[in-house]
Amino acid sequence: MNGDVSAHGVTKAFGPLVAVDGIDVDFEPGVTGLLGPNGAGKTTLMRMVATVVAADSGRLDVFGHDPSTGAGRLEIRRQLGYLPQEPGFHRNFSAFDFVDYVAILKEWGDRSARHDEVRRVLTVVGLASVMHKRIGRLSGGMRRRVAIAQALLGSPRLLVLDEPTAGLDPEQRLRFRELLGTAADGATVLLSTHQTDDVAALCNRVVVLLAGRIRFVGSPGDLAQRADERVWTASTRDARAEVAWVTGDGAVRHIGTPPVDAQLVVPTVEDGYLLLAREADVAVVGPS
Amino acid sequence: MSNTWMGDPDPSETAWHAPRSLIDRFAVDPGGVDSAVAASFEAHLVACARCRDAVTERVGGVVLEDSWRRVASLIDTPHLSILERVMIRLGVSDSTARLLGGTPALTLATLGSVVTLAAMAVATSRITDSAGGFLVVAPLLPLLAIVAAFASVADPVGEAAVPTPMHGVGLVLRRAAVVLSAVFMVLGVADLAVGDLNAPVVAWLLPALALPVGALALGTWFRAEVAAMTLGIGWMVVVLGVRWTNGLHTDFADSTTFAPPGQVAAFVLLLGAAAVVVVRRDQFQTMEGVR
Repeated sequence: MNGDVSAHGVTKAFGPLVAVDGIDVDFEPGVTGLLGPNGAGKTTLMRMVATVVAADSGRLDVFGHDPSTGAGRLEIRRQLGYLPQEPGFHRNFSAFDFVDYVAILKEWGDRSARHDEVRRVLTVVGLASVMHKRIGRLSGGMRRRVAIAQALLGSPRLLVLDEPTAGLDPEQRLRFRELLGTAADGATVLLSTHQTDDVAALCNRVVVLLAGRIRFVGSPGDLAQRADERVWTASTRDARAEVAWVTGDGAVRHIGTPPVDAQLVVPTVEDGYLLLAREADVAVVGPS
Repeated sequence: MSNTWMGDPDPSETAWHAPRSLIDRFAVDPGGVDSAVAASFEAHLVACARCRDAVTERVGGVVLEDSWRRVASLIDTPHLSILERVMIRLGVSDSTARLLGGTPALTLATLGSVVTLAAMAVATSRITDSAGGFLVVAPLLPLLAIVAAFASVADPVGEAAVPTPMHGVGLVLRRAAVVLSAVFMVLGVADLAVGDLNAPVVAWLLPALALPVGALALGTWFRAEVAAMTLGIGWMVVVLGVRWTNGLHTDFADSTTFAPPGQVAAFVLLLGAAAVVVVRRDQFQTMEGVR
């Protein structure tokens, strides 16, 4: 157990489906990205770290606290900001009401201090001008920002963000990256995403989960490096490639064992991830 | 984390700023400024950090900054429901009232449904000249309220509420107590409306306590909807089964369910369910228990 968050042999099943299968991993200060296809176990792992669900077996340790005990859970929750994949939104709540409600749940008892903090986090995500609008009247991207705001309450030491950039347009994603760069200062941030460019831009480390098991732990550069000399472009599709797709400029990008005269290109994180998934024989939706 | 979402206007900056003369007059003697101008300027100050700073500098002191914080806080206070206001009047803190009141079980729609169903049960009893209809329906209403309070979509902020320090058995029990108090007030009035027909009308009380507590106990294994539906169906099966055993000519009010043996059974169920809630209280802390 070396990191702020450590998992040792952690398993979680839902009926016959083993969502997380005996994983061992440490999460350290900085931003760690969880990559994997739908159903890989990312959300379940994040929920266990965030004390939303309990592990069936194995040992989790978060800042020295055991989330399987009531006291441990409480201590972890006091240092946690959590963004679920699909937060619920009370139809009558404004953005301010929503974040204020979560602040109460996070033990911000003093009204004046609580409201200051609510205004602060809503300002941080750029929603100060619409904070009193009903959530039902906000766009999907704005709702996502409201949900991100509640996770930032109290500048938590551990941030668990499940697909934080889902629903954000490219410009908002860019702003989110800047925001997280500041928020992650000294904190341990765990985020899941399907956007490999988010991982490349945001994360110090990347963990690839496939079928409930960890297949890769390293830097985004290391993941991209796995596809070194395995990525090439051509004008037509090559049947020998593991994965191939047509890019925006009409060329076909291939991943696999290149032919001798292949025009090799510098691999990206996405290339490394797709190659890893293919080697593990796990179906992954094509590149975004 | 003091940066803002880049590209959006900083809400503390506006294009217009008050002239120095207005700031001076407002700082020295706010009452001397025309009331319409003062109201407009006060509204502007809430949004404009530069003008606030100018007034603060003129007046000088921390007191003013604190005053603005309190004003802003007051303006930002969420709209309170009637029930939240009642709770605050009764001495409950505003934050607790918000937590307890922020459940669909206490919306007018849900309480209206409870009142309507109670009224229908009373009407049935009055028309048939028997308390049976009311006795059968009354215990189901607290169950309905528990579903509304703890169904998987019930929490106002959904899953975001789960990994928070306040989430757990304490919040569940307090919320259940408030919800059940509201429902029992309705049932109490309905009980009076039924009057002293041919049975001890208060015989609904123990089953009406046992069923929702039973739903909370079962909710440590299953979703609240499943738990409540199971108990609701179970209640109807028991009521109809006992009446069939007693003879179909028997009035519901005279069946064993509402006689001392039935009351003892309901009491035992209540105690057992309460014990399960206590023993399995940790389940309420995660998403695997009712929220």
